[in-house]
Amino acid sequence: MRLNSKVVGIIVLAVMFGGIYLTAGLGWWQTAGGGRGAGNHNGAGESPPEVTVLRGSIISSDRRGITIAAADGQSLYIELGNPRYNRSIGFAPQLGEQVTAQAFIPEGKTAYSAVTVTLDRTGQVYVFRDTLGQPLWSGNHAE
Amino acid sequence: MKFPKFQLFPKRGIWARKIVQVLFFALIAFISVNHTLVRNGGGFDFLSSASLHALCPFGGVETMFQLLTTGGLIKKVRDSSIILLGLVLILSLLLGPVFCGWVCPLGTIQEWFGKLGRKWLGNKMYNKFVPRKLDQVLRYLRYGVFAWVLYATFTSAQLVFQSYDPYFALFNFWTGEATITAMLILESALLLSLLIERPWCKYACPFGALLGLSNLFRLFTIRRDAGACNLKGDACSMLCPMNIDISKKSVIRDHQCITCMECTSEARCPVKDAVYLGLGGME
Repeated sequence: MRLNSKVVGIIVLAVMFGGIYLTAGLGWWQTAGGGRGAGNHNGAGESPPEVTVLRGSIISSDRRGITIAAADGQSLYIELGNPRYNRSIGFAPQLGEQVTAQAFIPEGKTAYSAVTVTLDRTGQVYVFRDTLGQPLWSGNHAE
Repeated sequence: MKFPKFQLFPKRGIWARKIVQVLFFALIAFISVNHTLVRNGGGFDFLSSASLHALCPFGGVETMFQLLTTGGLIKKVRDSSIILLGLVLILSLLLGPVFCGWVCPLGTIQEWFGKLGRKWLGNKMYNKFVPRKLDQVLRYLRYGVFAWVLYATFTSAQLVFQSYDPYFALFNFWTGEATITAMLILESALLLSLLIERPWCKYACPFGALLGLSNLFRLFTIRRDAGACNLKGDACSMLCPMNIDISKKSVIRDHQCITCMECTSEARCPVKDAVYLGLGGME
């Protein structure tokens, strides 16, 4: 039995692309061992970060985060996370909405990263990172 | 008036392989660039969660000890690495290290640099710089690198090799995450590729070392029908990128073969059906 290069090419493409498609579909690109990983991802550390409570109304938003106007007039940008993850948890706030965020500034960065954001109007809490500051969409977070 | 026949690919060669190489190089490059863009608030949602680590089957090797002893993975390695490693090993047992010859983007870019080198130096000089005896010894270096990577990763539970990995540097040189050492190794590999075919793969790649062992067990091997071969020359050996002496063997089970198929009758070998990828056979 002989194989020519076209057959080899089809086998390689089918197996490798199949593997990539399958693992992407199952979400195994994000999850380090379904949460088994020791995790030090996206700038977060292994000890709990110093979390600050921020309160204000949303004045703008982009794919990655929101900017709130605090009571003292200060504008604060809060990075939420992966846009796909934000959508998957149903986080779709309106401009002007009052929110309370628990957030921290990761090492080497200047903007806040959200651990949780609460919509004051409904009391709905959206969780973006775990207590160690690990992004929940990365899978490296503590269970 | 007779028009010359149009040929898209005028020279003989394994074009299926070249197409597969370009596809994988483009995919990995796209994913790496997109990963950076997404982290900075841009990019495409498509494949947005993927990083280079998620697509690296060698991560599966690096984390194996941790997985077996603690049930966890080392930092940055994803579940997908384990699955991709499994698939690469299955492919290797079937066809040999096709990952090296057909998929690995680092191998591909070395080949592209090699093409330039071959163009400048010609077939007689290119890939003939390392004396044969030294070359034979140096080829075992990659097993040393492989052993060191395993030991250093197992003892530290960190992706130690990332700091030296030219593959990581190739797709992260714009992020600042690639170390200077990795960048220097990448540059050296690419520059050496102008003189020697696939220098990193031959002498230093730890994943290539592991996959190369599959040549000893693979189901389909490169085979040479000595009866069909009516040439006294060694056309098949001459252009083997891994410098394997194909013309003196009937079955290629050399640990350096990457199943590029450039030696076969489909490509370089001028005799029909003399060199082919066939089932079984021992050296």
